[in-house]
Amino acid sequence: MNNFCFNDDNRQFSISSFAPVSTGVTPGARSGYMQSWRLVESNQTAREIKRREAVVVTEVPDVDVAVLPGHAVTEEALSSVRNKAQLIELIERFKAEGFARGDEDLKITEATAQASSRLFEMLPLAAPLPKIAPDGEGGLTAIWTQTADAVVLVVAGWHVSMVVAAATPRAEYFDDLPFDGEHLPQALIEAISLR
Amino acid sequence: MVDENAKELAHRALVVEEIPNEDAVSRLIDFPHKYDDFRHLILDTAFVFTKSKGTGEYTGESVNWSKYCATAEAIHALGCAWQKAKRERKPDMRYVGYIAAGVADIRQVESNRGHRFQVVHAPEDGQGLHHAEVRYLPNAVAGARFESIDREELKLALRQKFGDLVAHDCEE
Repeated sequence: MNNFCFNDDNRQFSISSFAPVSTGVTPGARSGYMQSWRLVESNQTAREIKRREAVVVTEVPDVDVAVLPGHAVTEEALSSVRNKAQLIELIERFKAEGFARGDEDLKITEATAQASSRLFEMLPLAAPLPKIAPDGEGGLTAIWTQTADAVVLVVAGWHVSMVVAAATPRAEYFDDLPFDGEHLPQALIEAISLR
Repeated sequence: MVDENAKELAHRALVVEEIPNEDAVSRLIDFPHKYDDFRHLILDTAFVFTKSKGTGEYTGESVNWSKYCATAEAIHALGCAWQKAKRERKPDMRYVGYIAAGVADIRQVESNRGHRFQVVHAPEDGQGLHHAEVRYLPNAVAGARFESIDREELKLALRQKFGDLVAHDCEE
């Protein structure tokens, strides 16, 4: 079955299709007879295409599918893309405006904003997103609580550190997590994988 | 409203008292209007512990001692007064309520690297008798690391000891 997405019934589409030649059939080499076909070019409106059998019309998603290469455009995937975009927008605001908490105006540095934005951009689409806040020293704190144990990540400039199973006796510390802006730290991927 | 007796006591010579483990402390919470659309993405760790530019030491975080500020009404009154004062400089500031914790629970926090908290009475500088502070108590063992990741873990552990927000909307 074909899924055909559009939302404007009057939109014109150029259709290329094969149609059987009406003058008859041509003998085939082995199977007895072989149908002859010709290429037909035509213009049809979306409304006309809708009338075809086995064509299902669905709404156009409001996010360009080009942002999800290699992924099915599911509601969950779209939601993840939107939340990630919002998270990165929030990082920019923490850098530009700061976040007032208590008596302090907490800002993050330019390098922290660059590194953390890059890191979150690179997270797999299926990965849960953290909650974030400035750490009060120019860095950014990110905490995942969707996992079995909390994961705390600190991005201070391009220096990244992490504690897994935070605030438990099983806490495991990664004081210098390698991050070059090109490869996500494997320990982070494993830590935030939902189990 | 803060107890009138507490105000009277504040005028007397300030005595820094020992806060017993059985008591509780509350923490006023604010959240700026302009970040309302991002609230679901923002951590509610509630504590900052910034470094003093003068001494280089980490500052304590203000809390209210239940001995002198016990009721929700009294705590919210402090919050509304705080909002009013802060808005003269920051119109976006908004007191949204408080969270509370047992003092013993805070003192029991200890990270895997041995860092802890202390809770001390701090009525100095006109803060009022109710004023106390939660301060870092880093592991004193030589060579113990006290990095940003340690501090952020401690903040998470501290927040976990406090209960849910007791919400409030100050009358303008």
